[in-house]
Amino acid sequence: MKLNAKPNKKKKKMITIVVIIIFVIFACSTLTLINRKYFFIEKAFKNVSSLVNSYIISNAYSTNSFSENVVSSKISYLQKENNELRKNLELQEKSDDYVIGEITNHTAKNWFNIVEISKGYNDGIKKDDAVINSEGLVGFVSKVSGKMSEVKLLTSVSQNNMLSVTIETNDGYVAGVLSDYDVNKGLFKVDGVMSKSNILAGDKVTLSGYDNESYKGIYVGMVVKEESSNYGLNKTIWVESSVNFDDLMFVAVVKEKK
Amino acid sequence: MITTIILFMLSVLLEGIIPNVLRNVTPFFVIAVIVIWGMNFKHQKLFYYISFIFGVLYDVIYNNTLFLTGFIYVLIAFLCFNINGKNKYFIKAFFTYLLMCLLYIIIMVLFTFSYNQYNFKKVSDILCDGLIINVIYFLFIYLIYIVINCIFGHRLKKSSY
Repeated sequence: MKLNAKPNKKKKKMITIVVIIIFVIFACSTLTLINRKYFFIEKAFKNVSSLVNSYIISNAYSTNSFSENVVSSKISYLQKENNELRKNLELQEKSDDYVIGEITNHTAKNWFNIVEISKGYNDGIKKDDAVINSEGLVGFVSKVSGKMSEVKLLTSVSQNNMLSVTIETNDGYVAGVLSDYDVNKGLFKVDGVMSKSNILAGDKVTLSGYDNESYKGIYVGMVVKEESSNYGLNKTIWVESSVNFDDLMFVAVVKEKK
Repeated sequence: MITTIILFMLSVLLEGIIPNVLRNVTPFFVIAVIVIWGMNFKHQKLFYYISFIFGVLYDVIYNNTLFLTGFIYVLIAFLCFNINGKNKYFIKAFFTYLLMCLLYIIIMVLFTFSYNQYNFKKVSDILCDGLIINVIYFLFIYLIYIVINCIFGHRLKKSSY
């Protein structure tokens, strides 16, 4: 009996295959999980694909009536109030600039909650710009290339990337944190509401703008129901968005213009 | 060989165009080409390389993952060669295609579990919403396969279908 028998060729092959599979899974996970920029070759292919798709879409649909409706999704009274205050303090009025773009790639929507639009940094779009449509907040720009941008949809909100929101009640404004999206109910969850104000169904929920001033006043959705927890100390608010995330055609990117 | 590459390129392009025209449709066009075209491809290794290259291209154009779709396509090609073998029955190819689509969905769901919430309805919607367009494309590719077989019949083995 040989004590130091060499392993068979088949065993070696199996081990190599298993190692390669583990490496591939690890590499793919890290490449998607890290907040990386596009590689040069990715930018090139995505720009070309975006141009082709936007050419086909622009021949099929028109954006004429869309741009008028999109302004209504930013709560106009907040803007007016803000500008009045600025006038009183003799500061310059702020106005938002919108860049209208078509959604050119829905392929990654099912798996990564990502869509791609036909505008990029050549059109003045930057990372973390808010993306809206006529119904409300759609998402945020996560990556930008020359002629296209990647938009992370609002449905990807989770405990790792929460949003600060404001609920407009009869008793005033209440702060909360948009922390989750329930696929089964189709509702967003707002946590951390400590106020004793009465929050009723139908109250409007907007972004507070604490982390980024250009987000302030962007309409998120409407309160559907309220749940109390921790012996009534905390409230959980369920919010319904009017945006149909399964049927996105055109969006507007909010750029702040001084 | 040239026909294979043209069909792969066409499928990759259409996978980006079709969801913009018919929303909520998840196309599985490249899988149709792998299932049908792999039935008669003589050089298995070459077909694996072609599937891998077009999978990587798909990832670079549409997804944020690198190599994942390439390896999934190679896995699908490998399974098709082992399931179908040298049989070229239409019904067998059709059911293999549906099975491979389901496998693709399951792998992507498992991989993106931390990115997305899934329920049975969402997964079934992904498969069923685009079923008609996927079946039509499968039939279209199969028709091309039959035409190519007839034209170049003297070079290929006779197939029963």
